[in-house]
Amino acid sequence: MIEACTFLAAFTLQILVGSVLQPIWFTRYVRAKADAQFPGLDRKSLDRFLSLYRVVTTGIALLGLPLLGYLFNQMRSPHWDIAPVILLLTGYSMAQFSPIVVASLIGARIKGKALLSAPPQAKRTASLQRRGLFEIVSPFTVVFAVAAYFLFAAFAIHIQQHPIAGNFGYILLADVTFSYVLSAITLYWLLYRRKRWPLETPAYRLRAVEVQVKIIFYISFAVIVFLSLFAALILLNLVRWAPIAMSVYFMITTLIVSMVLLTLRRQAETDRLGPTPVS
Amino acid sequence: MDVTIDIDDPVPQFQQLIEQIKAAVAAGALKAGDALPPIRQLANDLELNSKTVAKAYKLLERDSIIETKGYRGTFVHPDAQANCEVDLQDWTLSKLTQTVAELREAGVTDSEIRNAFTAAIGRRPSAK
Repeated sequence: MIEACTFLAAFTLQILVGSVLQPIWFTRYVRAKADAQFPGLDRKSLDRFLSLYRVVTTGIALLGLPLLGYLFNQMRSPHWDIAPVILLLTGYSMAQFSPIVVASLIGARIKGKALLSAPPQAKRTASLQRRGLFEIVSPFTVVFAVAAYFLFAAFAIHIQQHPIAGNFGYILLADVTFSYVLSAITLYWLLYRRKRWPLETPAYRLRAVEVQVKIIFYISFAVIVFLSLFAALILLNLVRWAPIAMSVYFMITTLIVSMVLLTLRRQAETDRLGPTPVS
Repeated sequence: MDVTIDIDDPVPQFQQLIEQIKAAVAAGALKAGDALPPIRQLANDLELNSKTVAKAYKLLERDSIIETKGYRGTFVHPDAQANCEVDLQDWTLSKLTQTVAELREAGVTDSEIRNAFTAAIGRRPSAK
C-alpha cells in the first residue's frame, strides 16, 4: 500500500512539473527570446502558437488524471502486472516531452526559413572568452562521468551473470552506451557549431553553450543513477518500487531540461535591455 | 570582451582581428596570461575561415602579443602590453626608407634598387 501512495505523490508531481510548470517556463522563454532575437516575428502568430501549446499541454495534464487513478488502482491490487504499468508510464512521459520537442522543431524551421531570406550580416561579433569543455565543467566532473560509465558497465556485466537476468544486463549497458555516445556527439556539436542566428549575442551564445553542456552531464548522471536503481530494485525483488523510481526520474529530467529555459530566458531578457560585457 | 569583424571594411579581416586584440591588450581588457578562444571557436562565432583566424594568431604570436602553449591553448603573452607599442610594419618601413635614401645618395637608380630588392627578398638566409 505504501508503494501505491508514494507512486500517487510522485506521479502527481510529475504531471504538475511536466505539464503545468514546464509549459509556463517554456512560454516565458519563447516570449523573451522572440523579443530579444526575433523583432520581426508576427506577435499574433506567436500568441496563437503559444495558446495552442498551452491547450495541448493542459490536455496532456488532464489525460494524466485518469491514468493516475488507473495506475493507483493497479498498484493497490496484490497481483498487479508491472509490464503495462511501466509501458503506460513511459508512454505518458514521452507524451509530456512531445510538445516541447515539436515546438523546438517548428522553431528551428522558422529560424531556417528566416536565415535563407536574410541578407548576410556585414558586422559579426564574437566573445574573446574561451568556451572549452574544461572552462564549463571541471576535469573532475568529466573523469567522474567516465568512471561512472565503467562502474556501471561492471554492474551491468554482474547483472548479466545473475540467473534471472536474461539479457537485462546487456540491455542496460546498451542504453547507457547509447546515452553516452549521444551526449558526446551533442557536446562536440555544442562546443564547435557555427553561429547561425545573427541576432544571437555573444553573451547569449556563451550562456546557452554553458548551460547545455552542464545539462548533458547532469542527464548522463541521472541516467546512470536511474538505471542502477532500477536494476537494483529488480535484483532485490522490490519491483513494486520501480514505477516510483521511473516517475521521479522523468520529473528530475524535466526539471534539469527546464534549467535551460530559465537560464536562457534570463539571458534573453538581459540582452533585450541592452548589451552587457561578458563576465 | 567582444571583437567585431566588418566584412565590408577594406581592411583585411585578419588585420581587423589583430588590431582589436592589440587594442584590448593595450587597454588592459586582456591581461597577461588570459586565455584566448581556440581558432575554431573564434572562426565559427565570426563566420570566418579558420585560416583567417589562424593567420591573425600567427602574426600576433610573431609580435609576442600571444603565445601558444601546446594542447593547453593560446594565452596573452607576459610582455604583451609592452609589445603592443612596437609596430613591426612601421619599423620595417622606416628601415627601408632609410636604406633607399642611402642608396639614392650613392647614385643607385630606382630600377636597380627594385631589382636588388627583388633579388634580396628571393635569396634564402645563409646558414650560420
